[in-house]
Amino acid sequence: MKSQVVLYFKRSLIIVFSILLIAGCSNQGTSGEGIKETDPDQELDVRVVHKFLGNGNESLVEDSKIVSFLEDKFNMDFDFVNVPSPIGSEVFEKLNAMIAAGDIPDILQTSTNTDLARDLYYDLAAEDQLLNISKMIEENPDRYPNIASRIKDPEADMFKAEDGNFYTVPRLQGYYDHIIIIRQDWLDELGLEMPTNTEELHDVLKEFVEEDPDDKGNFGLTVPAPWWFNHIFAGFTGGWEWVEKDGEYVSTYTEPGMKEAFKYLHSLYEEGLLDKEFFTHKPNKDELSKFINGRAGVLLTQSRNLPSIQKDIVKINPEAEVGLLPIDFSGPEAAARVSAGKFYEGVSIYKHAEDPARMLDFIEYLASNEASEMFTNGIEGEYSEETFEHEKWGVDPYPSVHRAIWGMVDMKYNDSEAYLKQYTDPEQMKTFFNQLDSADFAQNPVWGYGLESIQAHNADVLEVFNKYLVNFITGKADIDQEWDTYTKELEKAGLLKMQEEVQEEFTP
Amino acid sequence: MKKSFFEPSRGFKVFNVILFTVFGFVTFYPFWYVFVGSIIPFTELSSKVILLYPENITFEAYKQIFSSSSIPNALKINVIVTVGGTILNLLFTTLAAYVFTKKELPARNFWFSLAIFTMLFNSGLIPMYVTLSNYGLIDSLWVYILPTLINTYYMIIMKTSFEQLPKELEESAKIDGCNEIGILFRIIIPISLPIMATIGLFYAVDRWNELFTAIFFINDENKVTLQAVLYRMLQSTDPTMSEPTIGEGGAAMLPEQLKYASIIVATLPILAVYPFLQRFFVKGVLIGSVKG
Repeated sequence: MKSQVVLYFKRSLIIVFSILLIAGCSNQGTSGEGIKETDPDQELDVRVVHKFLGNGNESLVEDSKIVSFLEDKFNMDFDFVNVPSPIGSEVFEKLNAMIAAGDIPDILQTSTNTDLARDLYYDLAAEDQLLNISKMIEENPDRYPNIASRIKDPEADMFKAEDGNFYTVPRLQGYYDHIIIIRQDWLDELGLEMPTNTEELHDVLKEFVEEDPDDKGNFGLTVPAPWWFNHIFAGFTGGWEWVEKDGEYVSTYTEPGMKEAFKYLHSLYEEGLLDKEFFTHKPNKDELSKFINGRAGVLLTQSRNLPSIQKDIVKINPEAEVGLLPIDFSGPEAAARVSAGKFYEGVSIYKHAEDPARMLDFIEYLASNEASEMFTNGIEGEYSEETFEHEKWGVDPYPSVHRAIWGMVDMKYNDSEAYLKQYTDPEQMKTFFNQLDSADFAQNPVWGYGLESIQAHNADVLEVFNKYLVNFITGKADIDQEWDTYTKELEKAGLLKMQEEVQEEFTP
Repeated sequence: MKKSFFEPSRGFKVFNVILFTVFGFVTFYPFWYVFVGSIIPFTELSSKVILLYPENITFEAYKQIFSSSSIPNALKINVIVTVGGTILNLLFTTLAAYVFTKKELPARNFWFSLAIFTMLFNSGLIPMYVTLSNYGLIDSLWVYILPTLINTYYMIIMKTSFEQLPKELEESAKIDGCNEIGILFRIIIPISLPIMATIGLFYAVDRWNELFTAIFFINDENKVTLQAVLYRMLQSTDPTMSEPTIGEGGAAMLPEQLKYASIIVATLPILAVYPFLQRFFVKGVLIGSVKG
């Protein structure tokens, strides 16, 4: 009840201030659908609010060469609003306050992932405050070909506003770059084949632990955190949280495949083939250290961690070699791989800004191959090869931040030599990245839609799931005996209500 | 000689020494861990669980911090806001506290209640943003200082402290021709140095730790405080590492020792202030606590 009142209050505030703002702007000259266009020779002040401006270890600097290049190209002067916000939550709170004060930025980040972000996007769209991207494309089909092809992708549909139009350009996030790495030198030494499925992985881990090639007390497989078992669960259930069964979605949590996955992980744990600290150690530190130091032979991680692993592991053991499990590594049911969708969040343009059409031209450029090339190789004559070394990407210039902010191309789609050369085997990684788009993986079909029941119950359901996950894997609870209690607890926590709504809203 | 009942036994003393040594270690060790972690290479940091002393020393993390613009710049902002803010905070808090000691102040209870009201209720983010925006304070360094110019709680402590001073001092100053401002600056403040130092320290720590204001009311990256830069750095991790949320691109992972070095850079300056104010601080915290 309280949240409804707050929501009502929030929406009312946005509407009232939006109306005031429209009244304030109504005396300005506009053309077409109320979209004002200015003389291209006139410099445009563009204020930008985006969470990626404030969540890295180094912010984008306004005098960076890439920013200057873009400013010159479009005759714009950017003003980046800084919101130190590592996970992005404060960005939308600040945006909400700015909107309430009638201070809407020209380019803003939009998202459908949280209540506040979704309300802001839908309300601003409904109140005619955001540029209608669908309409702009419809009226100028040749002017925005890259944006047009992006929003035509069925995966982008989740970004449509309530009236069915796009008021945001979805950001190309790309599929997860997660990899399973293995000590290739151990495989060679022990005469083992690269495992291609969970069963073979079990056998390889057993050999690793028994033989312990580096003599460091090997425990086989390690992961940063339990979240990473989602890949294994997908291999056993065929889905990520939701899976198709008899023409409708059901939760993977209660599927027989999940029971088998728990049994598989429990057997690894029982046989000493799984890191016993997987749910307590420090993610992105401990598991890397264990693999580098020869205490684990297999690790689930992100491809971006591989260069530093390859660099550090040979300091410990000069003979060490890191191999990659095949991208189609699978479980008994399906590929053991999960990924979010291709698109994630987006950028919108304030409709009553001075020249929204020019801003859309700017975004169209950023979605082009020409811009992609620029982000990959730098601006001709401005950067040396040295400047684009991976190590330098923490300081200006910071191409990955640019990409993320403008949402055009993810680094994973980068197959430039400059990016790939950080890996010991660039060709291997090039092949991996090229395979990402076509690889089989499980996707969570409900992400980004903000279903009410999921918002209401997901945290409780996850709490139950995570509790049993640890208990089942460690053997604290017997999987067969406790399975009914586990499913009942999940149902009690709200899983059935979630399933009902998912089945109502989505058809596989 | 007969031992008094209240005289502690040797065992009790030993127990106390052990207890407080352990307590001291538990309190000090995290800071020591962070310090050692900031001056050793990543390979050493990642291979050890307990850090007691550095085997190999490297100042790479500090070099990196000071070669980027954000931390030195934020440090400068912190110094400006802390020094400038604390002086103004003390000045205005002292003035308010002194005024409220005057029984002849018209509607004294009403004004005092208004001040108390601000301790109990705050307006929330949106009204605050709108107000500050209307005053032109958004993105101004004054936003760190003006909205929190007087902390009611500190003002009450100071007022209580002033009330304990002998009235005769003021009366004799008045006889000698001193006005209220003169009494405050020539009599009250000089004999209230412990409470001034204590409240000054409270304010300095508050100003040094400004985070909320930097996040919501500052747009320019060059005007954010060190805490805001740290907040961004320390929390910057990939969600797929621990949480079931959609992964994101863009943010680079930060080496641990860089985080640790940032913590040291952020905490050391304000820690360095404590020893200088220690002698006032112990006395000051007791003043104002009881009215006698």
